[in-house]
Amino acid sequence: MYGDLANKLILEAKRTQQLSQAGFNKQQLPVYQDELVRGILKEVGSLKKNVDYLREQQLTDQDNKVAQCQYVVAMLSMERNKRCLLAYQKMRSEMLDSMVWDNNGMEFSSAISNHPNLSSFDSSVLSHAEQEYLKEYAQLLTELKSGELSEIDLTGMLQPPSDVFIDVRVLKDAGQIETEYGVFNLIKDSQFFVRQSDVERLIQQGYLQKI
Amino acid sequence: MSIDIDDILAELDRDTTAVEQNASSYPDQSDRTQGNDVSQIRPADKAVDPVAPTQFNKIDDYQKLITHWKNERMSPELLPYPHHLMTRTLIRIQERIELIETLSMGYLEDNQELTVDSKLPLLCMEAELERLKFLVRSFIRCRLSKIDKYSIYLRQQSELPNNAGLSRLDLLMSKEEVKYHMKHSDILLKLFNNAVLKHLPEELQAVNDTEGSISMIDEPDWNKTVFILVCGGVVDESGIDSKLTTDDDGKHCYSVIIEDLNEEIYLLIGAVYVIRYSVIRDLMTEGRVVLI
Repeated sequence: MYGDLANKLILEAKRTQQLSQAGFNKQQLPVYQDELVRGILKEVGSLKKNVDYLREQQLTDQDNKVAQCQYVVAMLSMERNKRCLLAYQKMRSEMLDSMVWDNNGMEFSSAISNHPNLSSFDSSVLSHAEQEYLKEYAQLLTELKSGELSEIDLTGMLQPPSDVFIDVRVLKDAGQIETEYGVFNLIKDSQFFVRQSDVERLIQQGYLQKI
Repeated sequence: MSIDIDDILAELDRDTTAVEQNASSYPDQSDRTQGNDVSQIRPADKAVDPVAPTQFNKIDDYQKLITHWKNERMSPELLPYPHHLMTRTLIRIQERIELIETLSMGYLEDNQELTVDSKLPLLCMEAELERLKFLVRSFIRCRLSKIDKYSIYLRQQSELPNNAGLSRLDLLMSKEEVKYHMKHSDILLKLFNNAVLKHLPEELQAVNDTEGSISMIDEPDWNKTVFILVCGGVVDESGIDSKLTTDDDGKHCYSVIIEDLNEEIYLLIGAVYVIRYSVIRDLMTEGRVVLI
C-alpha cells in the first residue's frame, strides 16, 4: 500500500534517535537505508503518473467524484512520502552534525579519510551525499573555530568548570602528554592531578575519566 | 596543597565577579611584570570607541553578558547579537590570556620558589578565565543551535522585501554566525537535493513550501511559556520609566495584555512570573524583564 515503505523509514529513524538518546551508538549511525529510499522514490514516480492521468480525466469529466478523491489521495501520499524522506535525511544530518561537534571538527574527517580502519567510525554506513556533507560540515566547523573565537574553543566542555585542576583516571593507554607542569605518562588505571584545560580533549575522546 | 586551593576557590565561587576583582586586587604585579605589554595594547583600543574595554565597567559588562546568556538560553527565538559587548569581552579574554602567560613566564625566569602563595593569584585568574570562556562558549553554542533550527525561517525573514537584504541578519548575528548560517544551510540543501529532492517530480522540490498540508518552515514557538523576573530600572532621558504604571495598591508595575484572553495583567517590579513569551517579548528586548 502507498506509504508503507515511508512508514518503515520513519520507524527506522525513530529507532536510531532513541538509541542515540539512550547513549548507545554515540559514534555510529546505522546503515543508510538506500533500498528503502529508492523504493519510496519509485513509489512517488508511479503516484506522479497516476496524478497526471487523473488530472487529464478531470478535464473531460468534471463531476466524477471518485476520480477527484483518487487525485487528492494520490497527491497527499506523494507529499507524505516527501516529508518522510526529508525527515529521515534531516535526522541523519543532525546526528552527523553532533558527531562533528563531539569530535572537534576537522580532525574527525581527516581521521576518516586517512585511517579508515583505525577510526571507530565506519564511513560506509553513509550515502555518498552524506559523506560529502560530513566533509563540508567538518570544514565549516574548523573555519568557525579558527576565526574570531579561537580562544574560546567552541567544542569545549558545556558544563560549567568548577576547578582549574582536577583528578583524572586513565581509562585507555594514551601515551605521554606534555604540560606546563611536566610530562605525564598516561598508563591505564593510573590517576593524575592535572589542569582541566590541558586534558579536556582526552576526556571527550574517552581516554580519561574525571573523578 | 590541594585542600588550601579548594578552600579559596570555593570562596571565590560565592562571588561571581571575582575575575574583575582579581584584576584590581593585584595591580602591582601586573604592572611590574607586564608594563610594556599594557602600554602597547591600550592605544590601539582607544581608536575604536564603543568596543574599547577600558571605557566600560568590567563588572557591568560581565553581568550584562550573563543576562544575555540567560535570555538566549530561555527564549524560543534567536535574539540580536550584542556586538559591542562581545567585542569587548573577547578583547578582555585575549588580554587576560596574555597577562597570565607573562605572569607565569615571569615566575619561571626569576627562578623564584614556587610556593602556593605566589601561585594563588595566578590560579584564581585561570579559574575565572575558564569560567568566562565557558560563558561565552555556552552562549555561542546556544545561538548556533538556534541558527540551525530556524535556518530556513531566518533566511526567509532576511529576504522579505521590507528588510534591505542582509542588513537585518547582520544585526541579528555576528559576522561569523552569518557565515556559518549561510554555509550550513547551503550544504544542507545540497544534501537534501542530492539525496531526495532531485528524484522527485518538479512540483515537490521546494523545501519552503507552506501551501501543502503542513508548513515546512520551522518557526520559533512564540507562545512558549517562560519564567521571567521583572527588574525594571530602565529610564529615559528625563529620568523616568515611561512604561511604568501603578496598580490598585499603588505599587510600581508594567501592564501587559494577553491577547488570547483579552485580559490585562500587572507585572510587579521584583516579582517572578510564568508567562507566554509573545506577551513579554518587547519588555524583554528593552531590558525591563529578564528570563530566568
